[in-house]
Amino acid sequence: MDPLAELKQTFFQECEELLGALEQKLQLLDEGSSDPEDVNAAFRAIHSIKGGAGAFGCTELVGFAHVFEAALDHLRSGRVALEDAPFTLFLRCSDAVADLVAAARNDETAPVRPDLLAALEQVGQAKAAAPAAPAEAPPAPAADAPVGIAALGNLLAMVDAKMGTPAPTASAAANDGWDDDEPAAVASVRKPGHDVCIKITPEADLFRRVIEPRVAIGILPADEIVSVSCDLSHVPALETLDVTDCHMRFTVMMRTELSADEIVSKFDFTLANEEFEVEVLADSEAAAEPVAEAAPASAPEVPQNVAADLSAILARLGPATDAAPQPDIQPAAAPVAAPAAAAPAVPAAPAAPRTPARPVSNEAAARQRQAVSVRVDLDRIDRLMNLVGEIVITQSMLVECVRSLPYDVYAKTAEGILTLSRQTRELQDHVMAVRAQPVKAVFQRMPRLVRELAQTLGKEVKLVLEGENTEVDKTIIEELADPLTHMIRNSMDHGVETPEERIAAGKNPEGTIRLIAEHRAGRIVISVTDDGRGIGRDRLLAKARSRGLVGADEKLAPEEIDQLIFAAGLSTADAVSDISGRGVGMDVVRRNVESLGGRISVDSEPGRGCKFTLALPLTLAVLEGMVIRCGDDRYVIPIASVIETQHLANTPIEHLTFGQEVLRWRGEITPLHRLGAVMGSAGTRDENIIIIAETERGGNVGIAVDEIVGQQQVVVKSLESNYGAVAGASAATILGDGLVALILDVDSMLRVAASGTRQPVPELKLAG
Amino acid sequence: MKILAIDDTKTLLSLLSMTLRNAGHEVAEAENGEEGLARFDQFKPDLVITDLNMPIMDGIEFTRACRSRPAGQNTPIIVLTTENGAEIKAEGRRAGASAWMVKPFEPNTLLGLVARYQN
Amino acid sequence: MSLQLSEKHFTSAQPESAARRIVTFRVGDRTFGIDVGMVREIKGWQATTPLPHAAPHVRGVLNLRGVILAVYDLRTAIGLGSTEATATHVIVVVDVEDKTAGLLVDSVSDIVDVPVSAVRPAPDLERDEHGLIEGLVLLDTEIVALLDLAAVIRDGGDNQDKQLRVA
Repeated sequence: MDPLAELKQTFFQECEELLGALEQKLQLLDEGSSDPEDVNAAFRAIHSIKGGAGAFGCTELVGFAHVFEAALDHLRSGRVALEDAPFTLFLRCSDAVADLVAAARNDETAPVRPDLLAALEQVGQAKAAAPAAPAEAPPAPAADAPVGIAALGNLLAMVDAKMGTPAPTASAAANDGWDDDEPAAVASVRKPGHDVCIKITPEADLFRRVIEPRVAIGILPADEIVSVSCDLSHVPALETLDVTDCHMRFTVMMRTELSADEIVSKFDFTLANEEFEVEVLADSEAAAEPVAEAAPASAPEVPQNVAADLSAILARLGPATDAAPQPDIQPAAAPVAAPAAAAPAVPAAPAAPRTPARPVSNEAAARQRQAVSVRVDLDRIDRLMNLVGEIVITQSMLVECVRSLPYDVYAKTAEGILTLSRQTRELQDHVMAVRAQPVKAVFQRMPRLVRELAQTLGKEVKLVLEGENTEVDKTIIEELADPLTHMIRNSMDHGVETPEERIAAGKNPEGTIRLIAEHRAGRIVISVTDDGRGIGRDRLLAKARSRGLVGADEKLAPEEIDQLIFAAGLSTADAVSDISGRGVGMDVVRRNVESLGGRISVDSEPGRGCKFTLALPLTLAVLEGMVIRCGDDRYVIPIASVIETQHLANTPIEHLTFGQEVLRWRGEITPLHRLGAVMGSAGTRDENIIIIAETERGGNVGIAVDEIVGQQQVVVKSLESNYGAVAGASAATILGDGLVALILDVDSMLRVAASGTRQPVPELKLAG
Repeated sequence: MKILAIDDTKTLLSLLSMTLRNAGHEVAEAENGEEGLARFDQFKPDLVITDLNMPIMDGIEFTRACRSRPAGQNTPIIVLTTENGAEIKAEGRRAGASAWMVKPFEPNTLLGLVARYQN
Repeated sequence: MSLQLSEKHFTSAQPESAARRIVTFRVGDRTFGIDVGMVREIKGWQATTPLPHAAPHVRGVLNLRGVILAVYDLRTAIGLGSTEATATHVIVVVDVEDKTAGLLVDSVSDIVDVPVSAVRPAPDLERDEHGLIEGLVLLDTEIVALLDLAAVIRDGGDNQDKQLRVA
């Protein structure tokens, strides 16, 4: 793949995350949050999208994002008060940005939204620029700004803009598209951002690596550098001086909006981690803009780590706690404040003030989390997962070898093997944990769905998300979007009433849908609960009767009626709605969920609401399987499909006239299929064992096999990546002896039994 | 600027030199370290951009060999690689690599870095 | 045991400018060839797991270091029946389109460089009848039929009863 295209893909992936953050923050603000960090985060998100879009030449996206960013900047600077801000407009704009990103991703022309643009441009026009209200809009601390491609694109733009142009002035070039167009008025008074001190202590071999300090430091934006000083005190005596060694140390002071991480990433090209140290100093502006004006140059001549850190923390605390002393960024002043802030760290001080303790530790914890997380290519994790799968196989191979050893040797080896098994399982769990992703990725798409549906249906609905950070394997994440979308559409369409109906029923005109994810008993359970009218049982039952799904005289319990919603072709809406419709019903959702080894159920209370619950396994990468033999061949049947096993001798078999065998199982006539015949197994068969398995439609089937070899966890391997779909099997796995066994798919096997047709060779895609 | 580009993956190499040529640089290509050294002597580049993992002679060996000849002691060498481990980076520095950039590269980032060496 | 092919094995032999490097292998008394670039590795015969209701030339699937791939019997594809596989038989692991597949042959004979000009188009007769070869190369002692691997995999199951005639 073209590396540029690859990179572009990475950018689009980041866009998804950024869009999610943007939407979430706007939502919080709309709901009344007054946290300036929410404003900053929203601003940074759109800013990063714009930056990356610029780097990849997505002009329409850049154009829209630019106007959007400018509007959000009014909030950030306090020119527009939060309570006056049009968040509904902003949310619609974030949807529009999502559309533009999607269009750019698919190389399509994007819809230009002149209406939204015009509305955005109005923001901040009405209110004359009032002086910034510091409590509302301190500048972004930027410590958690994304340092991905989007941000990189930004930096590049800045570097490029500065390159080759002689000594740019402090006011940024107005129309370079993606630069930080800070208003000149602000810049001339006091440059935005924070003070950063960078200490460079190069290894002696710097020159031999052909690195000129000029080049290394020159990577920083020239107009953000306040001073560069060189420390020559480490130059040795003349007699021992090797001029090819570098003994210079540098200290660079800068005033910048770049985060520490962004600066680190710039130096990372040329210098080793040990060769430089980036320190963000007290954020003077946050608390005391006017005082800070005179301070920056003189401030941290001798940066003292502790003092600087403390004043940074205090500066952040400033707006939150009235009691905190006004931070003065002069290091000399910091020790005065130190005892109070340091107290939480000293366990022996019971009198430690409670108020500042929490914000400090939260901040610290948040920073720590950030520092230890890395972005890893999914491919790498997949490879790791494959390797772990290999180990699992090797380990089960060892177990098989050991079995054939003489007893005394066996006893000694067995213990080691047992330990190995445990460790292997643990390793697997850990790799699975690394692959796990929060369901947030899917949940994030739902607010927009609800917004749009609410508009179409003329309903007012609030969506509440809970447990977004619940993690599942990525194989499951990919499968969640469809059923969730469906469940929510169903609630919006059939559950929640119109505002008028709700008022008439004495309810809040605004309905609520709760989307909740949690871990329960080794599965992920997701529920969609609405406070609407509940399932219309009379109508549903009448419909089921008219379709012959329920006998005319058959009596059903209310709960049984509710379950009819999953029956094929039943929709309670009078006309087929294009909302929950799309030709797909809850029956299809249920089938898909069950084919993944999951379950879906519904609970309804008339007039009060309805709750759909979806339970899925945490992964599709491994499954618990029963290894069976038929003739010379072995197969794996998922334990989830197996109801019970029994000997043929205990089971009377009857032959129907057209050759179909059936058996009586728990009083039911159950079809019997001989696996060897269906799958064409080689070798002689005795077919002494019958496995009773469950089909997707809830029916049962008997499968005759020769032997049950064992039960084990197997690693699911695709047959399709190098071959194609195999009728009767969903995938394959590798058994302990290194041979491949097919993983049976009961329903697919039944289809083979019914047709008995030869399967065509999968079509290979021919290159043009 | 005269730039020597070394990479054993043909497509990447062409992409790299295309990027550099479009930015107005004069580019010579080589497909491994050994060929790179030969080209280095004839072409006398102002800057070298090399891949790390290559057959015959890898990027580290190349850098070391380059630094050991008089003409190669003052030429910046940028390593362009998928490797990003601290150890391999340290080995690169010991061999004399001037800068380290992780693939896939963003053309503008690379050009920005190259431009730092221009004057 | 398997032999990993890598460029390093061939660095001594400099190919001429317009040459194709061909891996040749035998099935019965016939010699076939494919471009070396398509060959990922060559490994000894290893038991496969049969696939239900697959085309006749599909021997089954095997595990190659954790990846599952299908093995195709070239003898069946050219209409000579099924190979009685033994330890001396060889699986040529190839990359075809975006998939990896195994080709069961009797033995691998050589790696040769042939000038592009020496590759003749397959005679019309052969192409019409089977469409599995893309060209012929005349070496000193034998004729090598260059296989169209995608066609072998796709259509090789149709030649069960026919014989592929090569010169």
